[in-house]
Formats: sequence, structure tokens, C-alpha cells
Amino acid sequence: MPLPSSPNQISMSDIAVEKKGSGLPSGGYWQNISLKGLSVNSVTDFSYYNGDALITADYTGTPNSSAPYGVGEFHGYAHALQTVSNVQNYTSGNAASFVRVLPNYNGFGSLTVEYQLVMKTTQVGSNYVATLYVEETANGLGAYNSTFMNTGTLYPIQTVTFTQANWPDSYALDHSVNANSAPGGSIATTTTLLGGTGETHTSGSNWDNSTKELLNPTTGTAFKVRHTTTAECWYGVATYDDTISLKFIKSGYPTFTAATFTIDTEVDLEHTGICP
Amino acid sequence: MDTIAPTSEETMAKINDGFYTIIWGPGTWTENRTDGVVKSITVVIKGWLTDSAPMINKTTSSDEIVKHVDWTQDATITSVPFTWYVPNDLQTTATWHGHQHPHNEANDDTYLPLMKQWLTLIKATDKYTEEYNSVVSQLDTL
Repeated sequence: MPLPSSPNQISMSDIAVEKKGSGLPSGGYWQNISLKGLSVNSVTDFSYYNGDALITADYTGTPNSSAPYGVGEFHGYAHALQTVSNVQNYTSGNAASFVRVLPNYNGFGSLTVEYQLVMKTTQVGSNYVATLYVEETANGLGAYNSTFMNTGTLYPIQTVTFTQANWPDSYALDHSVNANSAPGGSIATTTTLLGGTGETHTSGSNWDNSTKELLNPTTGTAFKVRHTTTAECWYGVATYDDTISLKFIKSGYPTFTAATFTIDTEVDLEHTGICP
Repeated sequence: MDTIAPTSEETMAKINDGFYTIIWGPGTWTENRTDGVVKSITVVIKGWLTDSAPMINKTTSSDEIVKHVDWTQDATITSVPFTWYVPNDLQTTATWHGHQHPHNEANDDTYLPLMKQWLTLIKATDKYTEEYNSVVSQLDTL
């Protein structure tokens, strides 16, 4: 939790606990806590004995890295939003892969691949859980962990568990895409972010980096990605490499990026016959 | 009708800023031929920031306007060329149509399926991955 605000007293060891993310076990002790180290990245912050070994540590993050360094600068400082756990659920290089083929078209061809991302919140014991899923739609065949997906089934990408006290206020999906096509020619590749369907909530369109309230359990919000490939007399492959980050924010804490993952899409258009 | 998820007033710095258009293939590569047979291909990958990629309009046979990248223009970032050797069973004397009309359908029927196999094999090479990642990382710095 953030350090107390001014004029409350804070100690060097209070700052050390905040940067480490936890206190020391019984029998543990701090050693050589450096105010310069706490304030400047890549300078040793402190050493501590954890009951087992003496550990020297440097944690990135500071409220002000300029000299002179002062304890008062750490009033209200929060080093990081703590999770109970943050687990990547997929094991392949990509979180998912999608493919669609338009064979034997003549003249003008157009093909759309769509998939959904779904944020679901649940409660496990006393903790709140935010899980991001990927979902195949009728437009495109998906693979997850090298196994074909079933349309409408949710496949987990990242599961982040918080205590209720640390439950973030909001989250965002930060999206970018690289469109690749080969060979060059009469082809257009477009990506559209749309409101998803089938959950209690829809994201609405243009959701890239749009912050949504992280609703208490149990809810689901659907986000849709659409890749459209249009071409005439084009025989080739277009791929879309989506990079997406899941970010959480809680008042008083720096933004917490829980995961960055990729989803790739391949579109094959195979023209045959006379080119008009 | 789906309920719109409530948005938050919070703002977060964007961290994934890559919106790139990357093109490679017979329009950008050089086919090295012996007696007309493709023996190897010198591959070049071209990349642009999507917002600044040179676009041209093409009117389709159904009078629709399709905007697409003019792959013949200079790219913002061009990879270092690298050579890929064509396996014996995938060599051909057929040539790419280059979108020139009229098409030679018999030629296309030979060339295009082979080209598609070349694309897959080239993408699977370490050199392609290295050069593709280099183009992306250079675009990242712009």
C-alpha cells in the first residue's frame, strides 16, 4: 500500500518495505539502507537478512531521482500494485493463432477474420480474479496451445488474482498491429476494433487503450478484433500480428502491466481464372 | 442489445505503438535464374509506419475503390537483402505476373502455387526472422 502522505512520519525501513513489497520475517533485519539507492535506479537500495541469507537488492522505481535526496519525497509513494498471483495460461509462443482461406475466387475477393477478447471477473475465496480470455468466432479458425479452438469457448490468456483491498479501479487493453502481405500487389489490409458480443458488457468500438472500470465479480466484457483483407487478382498471404498488453490501474499506484502477448492471424487468398 | 462497459476517467500511457505495414515477395525480391530457372531468391523486406505508407487507389472490376500500399515505392525501412536457395523440386521457369495485364493463366497456374510454398519456406528461416525483426525494431524507433 502507498506510504503515508505528509506530514506523517516515514522511516527508511518503511520505504524499504514498500520497495521490496513485503516486510521481513522474524529474525530478519535491514542493513545499509541508502537514501540515494532508494531514489536512484541502478544504485543498490539496501541489504536485508531474510533469516536464511543476506541479500543485496536494487528495485527500479523512484518518486524523484535528482539530488538532494529526501525521505519526504517518498510521502504517498507506491512502488507497485501487489497481486496474489499473475499467471500466464497459454504455453505457445502466441496466445492464439487464427487462419482463414478464400480459395478459387475470381476477380475481387474479400475475407474477414474476427476474434474476441473477454475480460471476466470472478471471486475465489476472499480474493477477486480478473481473467482475460480469447474466443474464436464464426469468422476464422483458431488454435490455442496448438489445438483447434471451438467457436464460442473461452480460452484463458492471463489470470490475475488480487486481494479485495488491492482490486484495481480500472484496466485497459493496449493494442497494436503489424500487417504483413506477400507478395505486394492489389491488396488492402485493415484492422478494426469493435464492441464484442455475448457477455454482460461490450467494450464499444475503438477500445485500444480505453480504460474500463474493473467491475466486481461476476461480470464479463467482450472486445472484438476484425482483420479485413480485400484484393483483386491477388494470390498470396496476409498476416496480422496483434500485440496486446493487459494493464491495470489503482489510485496511488503506478500502472501495472500484467501481461503482453501476441495473437497472429493468417489470411490466404487464392485467385484463379481470368484477371479482369 | 449489449450493455456498454463503464469507462473510467483514468488515463494510461500507451505502450504498444507499433502500427506497421510490411511487404515482401516477388515485387520486392530478385529471382536469380539460370537458363530461365529460378535457382535462388534475394529477399528484401519493406516496412512503413501504417499512417505514412504510400497508398494508391485501385478500381476493381465491380467499380469499387480499394486502397492499398504502393509496394513499388521506397520504404521507410528496407531490410538488408538475403539469399534463399530454391529447393530443386520447387524450381520453375514460370514468372510472376507483376500485375501486368493480360495475365498468362498457364504461367500463373505454375508460378503462384510455387511462390506460396517459397513464401512459407522463406518465413521459416532464421535469416527472415532476423531481418523482419530488424525492420520492426527500426520502425519502433521512429
